[in-house]
Amino acid sequence: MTRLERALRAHEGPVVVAWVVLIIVFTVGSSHFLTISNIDQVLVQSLFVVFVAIGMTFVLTVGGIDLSVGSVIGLGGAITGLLLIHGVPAWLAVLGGLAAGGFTGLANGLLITRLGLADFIVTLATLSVVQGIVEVMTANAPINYPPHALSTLTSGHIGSVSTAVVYAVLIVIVMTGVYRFTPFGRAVVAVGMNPRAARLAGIGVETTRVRAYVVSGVLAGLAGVFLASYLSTVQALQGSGYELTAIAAAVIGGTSLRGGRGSVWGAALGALLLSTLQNGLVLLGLNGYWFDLVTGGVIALAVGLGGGLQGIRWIGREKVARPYQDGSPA
Amino acid sequence: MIVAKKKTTSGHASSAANDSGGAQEHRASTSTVLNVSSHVARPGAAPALFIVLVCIVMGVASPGFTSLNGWYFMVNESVFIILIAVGMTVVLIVGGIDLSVGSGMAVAAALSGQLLLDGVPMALVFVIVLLVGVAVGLVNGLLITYVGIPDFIATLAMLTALRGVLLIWTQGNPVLGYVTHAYGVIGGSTKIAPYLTVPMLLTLAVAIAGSVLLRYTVLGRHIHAVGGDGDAAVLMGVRAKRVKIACYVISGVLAALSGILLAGYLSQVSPGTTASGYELMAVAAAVLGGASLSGGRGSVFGACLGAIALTVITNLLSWWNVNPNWSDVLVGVLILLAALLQRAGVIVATRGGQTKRPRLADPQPVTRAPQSV
Repeated sequence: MTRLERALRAHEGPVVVAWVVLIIVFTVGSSHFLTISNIDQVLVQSLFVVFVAIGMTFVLTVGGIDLSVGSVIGLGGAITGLLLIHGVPAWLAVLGGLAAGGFTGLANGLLITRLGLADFIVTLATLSVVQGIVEVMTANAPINYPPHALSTLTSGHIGSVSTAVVYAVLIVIVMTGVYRFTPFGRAVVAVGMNPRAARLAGIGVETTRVRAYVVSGVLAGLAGVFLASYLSTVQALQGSGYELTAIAAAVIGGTSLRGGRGSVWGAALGALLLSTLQNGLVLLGLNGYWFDLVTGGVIALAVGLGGGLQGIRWIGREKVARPYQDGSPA
Repeated sequence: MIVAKKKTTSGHASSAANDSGGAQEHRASTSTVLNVSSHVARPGAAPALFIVLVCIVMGVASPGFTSLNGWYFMVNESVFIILIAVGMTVVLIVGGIDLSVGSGMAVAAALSGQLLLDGVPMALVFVIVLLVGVAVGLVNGLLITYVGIPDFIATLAMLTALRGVLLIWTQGNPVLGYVTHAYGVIGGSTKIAPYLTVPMLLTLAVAIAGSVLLRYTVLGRHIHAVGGDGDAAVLMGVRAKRVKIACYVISGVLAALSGILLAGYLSQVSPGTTASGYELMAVAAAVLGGASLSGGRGSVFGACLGAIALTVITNLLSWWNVNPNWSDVLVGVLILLAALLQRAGVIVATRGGQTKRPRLADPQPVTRAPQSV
């Protein structure tokens, strides 16, 4: 197996290929695309989905799904904003936002593991509950927290790169490390692959699942804090719809919806791909209405490409007999 | 998806809850007819129990809510969700999920409105729109089985793409002014008899047809086989890909039908918002009604009750004049409550089964080795 073949067959292969193709298309189509300020903008706009998609990768890998992240983004931002209004120091307010996200994740995890309810239903319910709580908390009006309290998060610059991008890169590196090299990260993969075997190997299956939901909640809260900083205001519905985008980003990046496999940096790149697409379409002068259609097409293409690249192993080789080549019934 | 369920959910519980597939289980455990514990885990028991609870509480607190007229409104409103929930049940049983139904409904609704405005005869309009539904389902099915895209992603992409097509086509402008008296009758905004509308009858017919399809036809048994264990089904000679495509086509057609009715009911279609989010309601209805997200199990009857329960939840809140800011909280809590009722039923049934028969061995949950997607 050549090195190229192996690289293409990696689960992150399709997202890299799709992203490079997009960049080439947009660079040819618009002279403004490949400028530092535009690249910086694309990166900053993608990082909210990047954070959520990384958390989603943990939950998907462990064999669950977290639909509540969209409203947790609102919760994280709202808690931080309200704490700032009440004169709490910025770092403590940010911690408060993260804690609120983590608490939601804990509630999700406990409801799912201790009561044995379905992941989809529990997180759909908390999506609704948390959104309602935020609406009540904010009286459904935008929160205008003291200006500049959070500005260091997204509007600072190091050279010509936003500080936000630096934070995002740090988070991607740290979370990739957690996913691949810590006992917790390995337990997440093991539980997702085969919970019975994981239990027999001495892994606390339910604890691991709860922790995955907490990770997802904290990262969604973090996305909420950054979004609050970026928009310099907080609205209850500011994260609505992010859950499906984040799942799409994670899966484009090579995470399996059936658990047991995932990639943190793949998910981040998946989010970046969607953000690049949005930016490029605007630069090409397409009407905003086209965005949904093209996004749908690109999601299908990128994931379909994954299937195609996986098939490379059979080129010029004897086919392995597999009775059921659907991929799976699920 | 949920492989790591507690022990109690495997074995007895799943087969006791498997109404359509577990006939022999029932025969064994219902030697006494009045064995409550074997019924509480049946699909649809939880939403039914929930609806009964609401009836009792509201019957005492404010009788107007559960009057015949109140039920008429709620059932008439729930048919749109019921139709897509029936399709969702079929897709969930085969082991998939169809997130495109909300956008499919919106496209169908806008298309019927626009074609009627263009002077196309009504019957022809409905045929065209239903064919569009078939096409959407076919594309979903082909993407999933032959291109190898996971169900969730393929239909998510379809959800986004269909909404995009609708926005581009209408340029964001609502479709309106197409409603005639006849269309109002078809959409259910006009009654044909006291407490009776055309969509109610249509939905009843669809629910019965869906039930019969899943229980008594070859395709129905194949759908259960593929969802239960795809590899085994293929080895048995089931054409798994075709079965799966058929399921998505059924879901697509039912979404189109629901969209046609919705257009008549609403008398205006907004491209951005109409039927948005319905896909999650349909999944919730099917799951509350006993469908499993990991395939092989589901009940049309249960899904109908689940959809009605969800409609009751939203109507309860407007009946009480709940502060709209609180209504989201309560919707979530009530969904959790309904899910808890279902779970409690499963636990009760499992305990009942245990006392009767000694278990030879801990039944093992069917886990499938992860395959490349």
